[in-house]
Amino acid sequence: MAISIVRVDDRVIHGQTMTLWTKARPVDGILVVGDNIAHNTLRRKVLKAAANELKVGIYTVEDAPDKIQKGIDSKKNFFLISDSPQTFSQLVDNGVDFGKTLNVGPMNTRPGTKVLGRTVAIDQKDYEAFDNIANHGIDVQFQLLPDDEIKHWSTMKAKYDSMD
Amino acid sequence: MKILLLSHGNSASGILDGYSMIAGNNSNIDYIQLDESGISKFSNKVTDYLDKNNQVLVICDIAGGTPYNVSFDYFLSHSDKIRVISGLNLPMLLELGTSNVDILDEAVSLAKKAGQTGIQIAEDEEPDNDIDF
Repeated sequence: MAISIVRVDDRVIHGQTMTLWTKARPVDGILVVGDNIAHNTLRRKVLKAAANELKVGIYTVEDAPDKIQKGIDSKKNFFLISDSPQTFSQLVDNGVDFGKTLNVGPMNTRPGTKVLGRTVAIDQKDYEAFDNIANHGIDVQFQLLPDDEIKHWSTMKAKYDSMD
Repeated sequence: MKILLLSHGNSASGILDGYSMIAGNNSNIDYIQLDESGISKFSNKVTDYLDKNNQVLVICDIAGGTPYNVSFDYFLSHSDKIRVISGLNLPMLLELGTSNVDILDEAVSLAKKAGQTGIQIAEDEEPDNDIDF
């Protein structure tokens, strides 16, 4: 497989991605999935610029399966990133196999979210998405930086459930 | 290998603060800043630090300033254990601090490359979407 990381990150591509994750994992290009991003020209421009010399492909959920398969079959290495777990949940429902691990980076506070950690806040839809992904046998790993300790979905889920 | 940041005023600690925000703390990076307490005090602190540490990459804010001159002077008699460069910037420090480079001359090349390529000019271009699989 030549998808070297599958990641949820609400800023998609930024300083930590480019300075730390690109050193921790092999990468020749970045595949970004998200209907909202694919339809936002300004955001696409910003992400392309953020990736410096790395090529970026930005796709809708509908177009992504074909591109993900090409990435998997390629000899090159790709990061697969979306700004929301709901995107990956949709992909899983559509039968897309992107591997057995989903890494979760920053998810900032938004209206309706519960704060589960310094950089992780999720709402009910995110919760259901993570649950769905985990139920498909994918290990959901919360880990901001490559050297950080990994927390698994079961831990984060219990924390969410324990909060009012 | 240690990295020592030297600056006029607080830019060294400021850049290190930015570094920590992105990459987390790094115990191999230190700084000494020239302030109102004067040049001789600054100079003593730098010399003291360099005496106590082996293999130090000194990064100064500007070539020819006092921080640079003090460390350059030290370098002339201790080229076995330190290197001195100028033009400290955040991309340079991020590249150095997150790579595992441990050889001074390699660190110097890496710093120069990262410091220079870190200067980018924003251009408004239509994004293409061609990934070469």
